[in-house]
Amino acid sequence: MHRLSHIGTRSKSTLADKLRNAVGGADYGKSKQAMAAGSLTAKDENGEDFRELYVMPKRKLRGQTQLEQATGRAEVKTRSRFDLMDRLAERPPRSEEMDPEKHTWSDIWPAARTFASSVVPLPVRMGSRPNVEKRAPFKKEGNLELVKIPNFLHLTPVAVQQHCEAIKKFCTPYPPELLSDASITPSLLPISVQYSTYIHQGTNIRDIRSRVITMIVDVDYLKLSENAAEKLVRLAGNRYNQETGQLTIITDRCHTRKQNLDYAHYLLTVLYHEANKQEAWAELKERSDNLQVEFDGSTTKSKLEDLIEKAKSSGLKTDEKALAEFGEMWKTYRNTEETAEKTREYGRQMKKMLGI
Amino acid sequence: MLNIANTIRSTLLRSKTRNVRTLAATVNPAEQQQVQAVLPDKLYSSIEIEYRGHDKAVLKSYTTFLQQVCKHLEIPQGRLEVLPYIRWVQPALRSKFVHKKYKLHYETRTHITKLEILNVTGSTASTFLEYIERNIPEGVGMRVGFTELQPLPLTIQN
Repeated sequence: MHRLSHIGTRSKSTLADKLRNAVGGADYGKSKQAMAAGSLTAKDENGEDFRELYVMPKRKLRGQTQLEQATGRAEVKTRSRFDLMDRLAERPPRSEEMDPEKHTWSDIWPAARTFASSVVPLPVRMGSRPNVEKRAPFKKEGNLELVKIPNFLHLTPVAVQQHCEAIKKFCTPYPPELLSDASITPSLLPISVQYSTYIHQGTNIRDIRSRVITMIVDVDYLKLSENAAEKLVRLAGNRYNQETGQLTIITDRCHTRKQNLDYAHYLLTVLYHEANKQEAWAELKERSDNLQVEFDGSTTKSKLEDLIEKAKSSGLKTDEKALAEFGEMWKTYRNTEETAEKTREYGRQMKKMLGI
Repeated sequence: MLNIANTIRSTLLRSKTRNVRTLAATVNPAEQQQVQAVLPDKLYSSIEIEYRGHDKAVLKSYTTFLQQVCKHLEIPQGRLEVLPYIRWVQPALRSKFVHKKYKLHYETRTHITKLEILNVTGSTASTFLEYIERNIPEGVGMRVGFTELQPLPLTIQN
């Protein structure tokens, strides 16, 4: 307010007065003034003084401009740029024109795209600097590092939700009966088939490893008789896992996955039917041919029976029913991996049986 | 037609003057016994997605994307495992000639992440995997391991 009032007190004057004041006051050019004022002798027909016509140019005269320049009060005229029209023809970057109310990002960036700095409205910076506090990493305009890396701008959480809503109709629910009861699944679906698919960039879309099939069958659900189960285990060899009771068939013999799967099914069928066949020579099997050492018929059992008799006669409190329990423990001990705990159990059972 | 082929084969075999290589007997797949039971949709007890890349940050972003998709499509997610990277080293000689002691160390690191999906049907799996696979970022390779549940083949009659 103070500044405005100061400007207001400047008085308006004609150009000649301004010049005079700029130079040195009212005394400058008195002789000229007299000339300009007109001579008293010359009069027109009406008896009035001649009025000198003086057309003022609508510009600052040379003298004034020079004075203003000298005093430092010249108005600096800003010249427009030579390429102003070209610059006005160029639009500002798209990121500046974006409005969250009117635009959705998934319409602007619908699919995977290399990074475009003019479109992305984020103030991202990327670049390695020796001292990050002093100098910030480079801005996004013209930044090749931002272009080189893969971006996930097309997979914003909102976009992912929209995509999932669109594809949800093609999904089917997993049977809830199988989820609720864990025991139904292995009885209805005892076979699990494992295979892989590979995706990688290259000239060839195929991968030879995708032909491999691993078929795992729970042998209990094949419902074989005891002899048939034993025969199956013998035929399978190391493909049968005793601990889990699973038969694993891995095939990569054929060129395609379907062929390998058919072959695995064929092998399983053959194993099953061969296991069910009873050959005449199978009856020639002896105790030494068994897969597992049996307690019944072993020399240990006969010796123990004698021992129990002797212990009873000598007066020790023996437990005959414990012999069956001992037999089971003995079978586990003989047919599985020996551990310290199993050995201790052996000792305990023996003592209990003999009444020591 | 099969009979004709068989009779031709047998006559050719009997004639010892001709050494002719015969084709195997023609088989009509439609007449073959069906081995595999056909269910209305496949059932997978688990699908393991293992993705590898040279950039750890990219794999991390892809993991968050996968987890979001699982959440929206209501697919039960199993375990997520980030395995240690596999390093491939190939040094190069630093000097043009001699100086075997001084080398440049070049290595490639492949980072691995595994995500498991449990109890899905075939349609859900194919929808999910197609969407996932279309959005794999650059420089990432993937292996999808399926564990399909199947009934006993029709050739095994309990």
